[in-house]
Amino acid sequence: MPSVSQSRTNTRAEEVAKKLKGIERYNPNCRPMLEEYVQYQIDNHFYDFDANMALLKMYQFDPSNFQGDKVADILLLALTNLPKPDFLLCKYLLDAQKCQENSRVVEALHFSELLESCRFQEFWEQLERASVKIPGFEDRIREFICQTINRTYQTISRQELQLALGRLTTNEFEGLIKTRGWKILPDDATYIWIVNHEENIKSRNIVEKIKFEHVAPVMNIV
Amino acid sequence: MMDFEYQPYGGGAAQATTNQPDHYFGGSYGGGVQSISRREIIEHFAEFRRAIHEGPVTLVQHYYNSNYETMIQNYNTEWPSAEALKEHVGDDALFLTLYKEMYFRHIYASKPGGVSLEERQESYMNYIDLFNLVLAKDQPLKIELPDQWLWDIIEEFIYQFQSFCNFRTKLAKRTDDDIEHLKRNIKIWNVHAVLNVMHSLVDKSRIVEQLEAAKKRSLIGLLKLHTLTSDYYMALKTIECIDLDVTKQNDVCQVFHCIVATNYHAGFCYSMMRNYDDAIRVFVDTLLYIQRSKPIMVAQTFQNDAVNKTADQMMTLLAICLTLNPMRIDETIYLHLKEKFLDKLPKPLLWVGPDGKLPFRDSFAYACPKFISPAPTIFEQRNDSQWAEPFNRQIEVFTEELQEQAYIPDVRSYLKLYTTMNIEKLASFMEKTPQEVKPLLLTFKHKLSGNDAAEKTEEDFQSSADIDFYVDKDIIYIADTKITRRYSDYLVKQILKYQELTRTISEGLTPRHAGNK
Repeated sequence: MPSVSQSRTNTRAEEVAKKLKGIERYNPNCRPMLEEYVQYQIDNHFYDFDANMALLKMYQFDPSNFQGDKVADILLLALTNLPKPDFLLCKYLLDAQKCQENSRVVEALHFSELLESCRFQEFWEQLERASVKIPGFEDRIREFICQTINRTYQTISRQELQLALGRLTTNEFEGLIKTRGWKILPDDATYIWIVNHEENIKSRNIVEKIKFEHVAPVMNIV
Repeated sequence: MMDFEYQPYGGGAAQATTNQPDHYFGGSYGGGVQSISRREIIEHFAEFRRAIHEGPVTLVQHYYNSNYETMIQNYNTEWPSAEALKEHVGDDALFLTLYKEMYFRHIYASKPGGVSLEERQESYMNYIDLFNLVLAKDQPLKIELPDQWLWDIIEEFIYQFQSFCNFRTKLAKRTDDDIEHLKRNIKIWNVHAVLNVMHSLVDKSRIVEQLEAAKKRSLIGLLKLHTLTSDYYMALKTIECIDLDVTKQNDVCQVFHCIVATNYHAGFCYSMMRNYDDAIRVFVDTLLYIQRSKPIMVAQTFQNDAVNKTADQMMTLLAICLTLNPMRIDETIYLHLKEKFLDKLPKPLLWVGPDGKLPFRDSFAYACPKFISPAPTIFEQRNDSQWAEPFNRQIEVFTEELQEQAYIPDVRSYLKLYTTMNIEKLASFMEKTPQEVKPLLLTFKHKLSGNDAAEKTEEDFQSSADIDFYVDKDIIYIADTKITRRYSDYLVKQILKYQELTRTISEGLTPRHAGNK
């Protein structure tokens, strides 16, 4: 839910995109603008991966300008786009030593590890102790978790689901279930129905179909 | 007199630091080696120059290809300097810069570890001159260069940049003089300048139609540059508009080793981004393409080594991707892969050897591009750590990714044994608690499922992963996709082969009459 109208964020995004065309992308003068823009994304609930990568690239070209806090923000924003590999792509551009020097970056790296190995309960525990000041961060992560659960489970235990989704009140929890079209099993309230996988995930035996074109070359020989 | 063996430079994987042994071809070798006199060489280049100005482009291509053959056969001759040529062909700035480009290319090729700082600098200045001529605002380029030459220029430009980055970061070997010189001339082979050239080529060719081929080549050059600086996102974004599909070939991309290099880099980027499906597809298609093109390859001898090496690198990467994301691929490629590459990889990939090292690192080191660091060099650190850092970083991140997927192969192999399995059972097989196993199942799905099962068509199944599952309460339901062996292709191939064989034999047995053939 953007707190600012869509059109304003779109115009800003377009402006930035224009400034990053061609060789201008590497112009060090763009750096302050890109750094401000990271905060703009946070304040306005949106995400511009391309611009963030341009900033990381600048840090790569000129490590003396490396801003740990900006990098941490970019990494956290990348996490909100899971399951896409944005975070991974960022990692490749970062200087290992400089990363270790900033505690927020180290924290972000740890979050990524937990989320990528789907240790959701641990992630929420870790998040409790941290202070992530990105509005909407938790919601986006929850979205990713729900997607992954959707792919894996047909029916899941309520307790399991609650742990995976982090600190939600009962109302919020039940609200989320409804929004996603999940259902509490009528005969066993400890389980929640996610989606019908039985239909789609079945063993298949694919039999080869021989097409005429394949054997045409040999027809005159045989 | 020391003679150099001609060493073709690698397309994408040049080793700038190996020292080639010098071969001494003394009088005893005599016999079949013809020596060309200096005069003949100069005449040859004068002809070449005329062809460039008058065309047709096919003649230029012919001269261009024969250049290297001519020079290879002449161990005793060095390329004449540009000044010497100038006396004979006149002050043709364009031709001379083109000539110098080839001249330096030869130097880099014949002494990969020994190119001096001055030579690197001169070569760089020559490139700037060359590109300035090409990109001149008022006069469009009046000559037409063959595609292959264009690609070779761009590729060589990036290769020399890569070589320079290696040179300036391997500080252990640099003399004090060199370091002083490097410090004073930081603009030489500066990353911004290189990027600027590439982008200008792309932009300019939007205006001048002739440079359409140059545009594609420059974009591919950028793909390579971004991959070398580990920006896989930009690398792939840069070639969005180029159709990599080797099964559909159009005129513009006819240069064989260019196609191979492009697909290698694209496939590599996909593998690093965890997009194993696309990586595998690109590698398999390109390897098949190389196989089919073998007859053409014979004609371009000096690039064959480079293509063969790239093919081997792709095989290694393919083996790694298939280990992480098993799926069915073309039989012929698979058989070759299994024999030479798959069985060589450690199992599991991250297995630690008795010396505490990861053997997997060696495979990766062979297969990956030679990364560079675009950051300014800190000359005070007189060791090779800045040279080694880019590679170390890439493999570290890649290894971390692999660690997150470490248990997936085990899960897969247990799941394959059953159609349903209790989570507790899986946990006991893996010697873990059920609580530990559930995240593994989620990770399996997260890392490896691209599409949702519902959307798959039958064709997708032909090439997709072999196993899928879902969890219902505490039970895992497993689905595997069995594909019956495709015999038709194999049988058709065999029938045709035997037919050919029979025909050859019967021709051979026909009694020869005098005067035939």
